[in-house]
Amino acid sequence: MDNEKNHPIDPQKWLDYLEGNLPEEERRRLEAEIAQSDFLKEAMEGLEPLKGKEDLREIDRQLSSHLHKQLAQRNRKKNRRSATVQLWMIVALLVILLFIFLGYYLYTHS
Amino acid sequence: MYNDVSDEDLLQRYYQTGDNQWLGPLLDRYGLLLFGFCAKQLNDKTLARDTVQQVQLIVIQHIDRTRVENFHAWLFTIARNECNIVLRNRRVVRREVKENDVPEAAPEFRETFEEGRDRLFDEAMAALPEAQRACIRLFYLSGERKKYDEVAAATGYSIKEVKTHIQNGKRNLKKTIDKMRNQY
Repeated sequence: MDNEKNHPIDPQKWLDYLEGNLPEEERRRLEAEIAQSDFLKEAMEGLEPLKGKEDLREIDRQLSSHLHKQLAQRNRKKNRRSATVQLWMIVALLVILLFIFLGYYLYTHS
Repeated sequence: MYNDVSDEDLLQRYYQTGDNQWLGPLLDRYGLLLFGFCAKQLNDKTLARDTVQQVQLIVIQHIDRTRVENFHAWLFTIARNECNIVLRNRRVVRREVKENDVPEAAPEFRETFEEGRDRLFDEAMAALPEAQRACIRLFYLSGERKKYDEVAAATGYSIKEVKTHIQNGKRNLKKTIDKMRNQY
């Protein structure tokens, strides 16, 4: 896991690795990372049989595009929630001010 | 972008700001590996893709509720759990096909079915018409099993059409598996 901290995952490098286009040194480094992580091992075991048969770059692009749609949707929800909270705060403030004003008015005119 | 920033730094920045500009790249960098992991677990590319999307959604929904220390391990634990759910759901639909639609299956059929059931099931699923496959996948096999109306919303079919596709799909699954069995 230490390796993951030192070398963040870069999908382009993993794609290059799968396509056999990675320089020797980089290839060894990735293989060392794979050897240290059961998850990476399983991920590679899942990807290896697909290389050449599937357009992995296209799959990566589609997953990324779907992810950004999900994040945009979440942003919209967050903004809507935040706008609603702000609206209620303004309403609450106005009500409090109204009570203060009414209290003052009744106090001075009684 | 952010290729040199570690998972921990991106996570830290996300927790400090709550801004998705940090969460996006963090999830983005794992998409392909998650796909490989799920493809290995599920032995089905389309299901793997659906499961990755489900995992990403779970992360987006839950990351604020917990303080994640090791994102890599947390992410793959979610992925493993989701794959287990999908596999369990697949066993359920297989059992339903087997029990409801093959009541008089011969013992040798059961044996063959048990022996090669994963492969038979996968092949039978692949042979289904797209509409039936999509409805069965969403109704039975997705991480969180969807209701009829959710399947309808996801596919664009009416609820009545969804029910028909699921019913016909199950019947076709049984027929295809039956046909395959006769070839052995």
